[in-house]
Amino acid sequence: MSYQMLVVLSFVLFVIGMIGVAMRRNLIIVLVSLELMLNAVNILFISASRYLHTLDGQIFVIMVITIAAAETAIALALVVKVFKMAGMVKIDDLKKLKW
Amino acid sequence: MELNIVRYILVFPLLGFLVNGFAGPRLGNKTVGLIAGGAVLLSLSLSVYVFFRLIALPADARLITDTVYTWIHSGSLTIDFKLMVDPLTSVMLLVVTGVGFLIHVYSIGYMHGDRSYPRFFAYLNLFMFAMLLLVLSSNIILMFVGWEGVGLCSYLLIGFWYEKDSAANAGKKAFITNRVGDYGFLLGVFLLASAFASKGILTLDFTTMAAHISLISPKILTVAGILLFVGATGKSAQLPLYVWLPDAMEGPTPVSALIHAATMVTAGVYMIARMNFLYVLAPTALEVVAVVGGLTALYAATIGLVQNDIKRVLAYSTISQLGYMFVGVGVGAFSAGIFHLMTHAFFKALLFLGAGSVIHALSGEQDMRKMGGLKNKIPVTHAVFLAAALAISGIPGLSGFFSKDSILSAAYASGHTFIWLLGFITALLTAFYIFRLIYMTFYGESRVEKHAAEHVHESPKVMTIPLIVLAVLSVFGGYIGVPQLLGSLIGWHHSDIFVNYLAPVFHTAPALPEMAVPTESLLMIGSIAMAILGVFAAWYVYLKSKMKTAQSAAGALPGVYRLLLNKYYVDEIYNAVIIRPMMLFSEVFLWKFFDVKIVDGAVNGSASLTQRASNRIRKIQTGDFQVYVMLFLIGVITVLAYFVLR
Amino acid sequence: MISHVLFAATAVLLILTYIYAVVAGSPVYSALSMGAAFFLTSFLFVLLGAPFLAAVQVIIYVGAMLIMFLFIIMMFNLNKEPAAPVQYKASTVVSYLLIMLVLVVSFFMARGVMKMPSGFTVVGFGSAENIGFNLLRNYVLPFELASFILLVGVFGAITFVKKRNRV
Repeated sequence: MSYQMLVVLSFVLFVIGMIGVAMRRNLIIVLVSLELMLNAVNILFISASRYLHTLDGQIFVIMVITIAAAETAIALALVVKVFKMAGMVKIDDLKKLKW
Repeated sequence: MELNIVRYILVFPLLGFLVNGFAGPRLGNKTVGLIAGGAVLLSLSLSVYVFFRLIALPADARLITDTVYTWIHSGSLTIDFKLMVDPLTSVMLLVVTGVGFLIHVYSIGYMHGDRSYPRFFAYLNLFMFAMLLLVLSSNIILMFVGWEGVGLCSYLLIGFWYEKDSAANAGKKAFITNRVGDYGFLLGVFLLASAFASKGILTLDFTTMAAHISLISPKILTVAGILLFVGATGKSAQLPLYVWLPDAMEGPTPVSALIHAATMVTAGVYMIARMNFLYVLAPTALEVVAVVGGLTALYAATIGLVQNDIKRVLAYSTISQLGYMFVGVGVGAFSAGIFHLMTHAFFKALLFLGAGSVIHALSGEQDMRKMGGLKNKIPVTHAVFLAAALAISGIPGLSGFFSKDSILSAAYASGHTFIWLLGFITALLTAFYIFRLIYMTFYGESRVEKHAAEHVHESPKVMTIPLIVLAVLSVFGGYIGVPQLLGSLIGWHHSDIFVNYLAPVFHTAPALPEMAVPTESLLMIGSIAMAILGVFAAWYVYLKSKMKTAQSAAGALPGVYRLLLNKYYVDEIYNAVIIRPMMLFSEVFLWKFFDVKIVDGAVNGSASLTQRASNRIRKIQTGDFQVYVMLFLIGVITVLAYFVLR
Repeated sequence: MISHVLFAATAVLLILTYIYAVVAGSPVYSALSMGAAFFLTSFLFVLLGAPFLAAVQVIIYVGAMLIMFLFIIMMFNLNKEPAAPVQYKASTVVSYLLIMLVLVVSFFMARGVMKMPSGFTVVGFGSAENIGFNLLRNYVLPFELASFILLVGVFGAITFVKKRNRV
């Protein structure tokens, strides 16, 4: 069991999450993928914390979870808002923010 | 002695300014007047209190300080916001707040009905604050703040009726002319600061400077003294920077009385008296001061002889009297200069306010050729005006006589015979032009225009009472400085209270040589004779012969008359030599070339460059979230590749 | 040995749940799959000596976040996948990501095998006591800042959704 295996695992998970963010059109699924990316990073932190035998990584994970919670709350609020405005939650509805 | 209430002398006018400036229009005119007058009255009461605290101290320890906070702290240089009251300051304090208060009261009546009433009182209070700061400051930097502050208020108040082009222009002229002087003043301050710093003294406190002045070489002191005096010529309207003061008469009359007669224009005299420790060691600079003062006194008096606008006559008279003050401090008789400053503040403020009362009575007429015979119609104004005129002419027994005489005798005693002669002739001219004004205004036939004649009326009490108080001061104010020669006649030893009071401030100044009693008596009789001669001549020319003599004199010497009437064409010369070339340079080079081509070109060029570039690259902003994610991905890969492959 | 097996099984399941969460046709399945991934992650945390965080993971992610997602989906009936064209090919994305994967893996492999400390758990290493001690002694300021961010998040969510009085 080596550290690299954990790194590769978390990286693979991260990439899967990123594919979801980049490819899906449904806003909810994009958000789910985003959470999964954060989770992949958390795994990396925990592994590093174990490998280096220090608690700093775990503290960091607590921070990430906190921020993720706040971010999800706001993102879901935005989803609700978009839904109320457009009746759909396609990403294409959010194209107004350009020149 | 440290006394923490001194700062409140400053605080009240500042508060008055803030309240009237921000809330004035909502308070109603009555409250505004009350606040403004009340603020100055509080300052006056505090000044009186401080004055009594000061004279309770032993004569050689009369110094009250009040350190408010450290204002500038940079490296080893420390400048405190520190106020100081010594005998000289206390005299200025009482004059400024006293005359200032009377003028505030007068203004309540005079400005009645003006639509910018609150603004006027806000400016007036701001002026009081700045002037008191100038007087109270204990170092030259803080003094400069007040010095600039009064300049600003002067500008604001001259241009008070800014809808009139002439008023707006006069304000600008005053401000710009003062800038020229202030440039010299600042250079002087910098020179002093660097000179002291090179000796390891990193402060510009007056007391510290006075204690260490002997470390500085006399050459530097002379240059610094002359540079500071350049500032004084601007502020106190001396040759060659006097041109703004006659035009400043565009402002409301109380402003002319307060700023351009009694207080601000005397700041230069005060500054030289304050820096006496420097000027004593720089005799050349002092000589310059005296000569410029003497020449200005005579020069302005000659112009005053032929002016027809009642306020302009008084303006030239002010310039001339300021010249006297500079003669006083210039010949080393600092106390005499300050004494004349004080008495002049009384009678000149009175003359201006009286003129204001006349103008008020005639519904705004300022031309003396359209006055005359007003004696019985406005008796109170006439009485106080006459008192002031007698005082300024130097008729024995009134304040102006004592102060003017002490300056002239000091000039003679110190050996400046030429300057004495200038002052001596000016005394004659002074009496002549001021009584010319009196006879043209109050006596003879009425030349008042019909519609104005119907409304002639005495001013309300709120205006006449300050006039009467000032008249009392003009008549009796001189008795605190009776020359020893006259005092001893009636067995009054130490009759020269004023000089003795100020003596500790000017202790470095060498005593003037004693004059023999006959010489001094002769001088005194001479100047009395000149004054009476002047009054009599004016009576003969303007009353007895009904101005026929004046006309024939003007006809006999048309060149001289025109030269004087046009004020020696100085404005025209300045216009041709300085203003025109500068305007031309500004228009052709600075505006048409530098501003349009280079400044605007750079600004517009960079703007259009940005716009063109933005037009090209804004296509990237598709607004599609997932395209952004891809771009982000590419960025991440680039960074990763750099770390892995380097 | 058993821990190796457990790790391998968890890893494989994690990848599967991740993939399903991303490719699921309906948001509900996607969210549920995400919940499963979180459970598996918390199991991995236990294996890696972070029991406290494992609990936190379940409580916050599964207990709060997943419920929030499901709530929103069901409340607004968002369970319809909008059919919309993707603007670029999936292969582009995948190839980019493969480049990343190769880069990262080669970066770590180049350092030789980095052995994890023997055994998956150490007694008391990631306990609530130790974490709390560390958090409130060395990381008080970030801790407070995080709480502040949560507060802002609450306000933000409320403000976004609230009906405005149109001016």
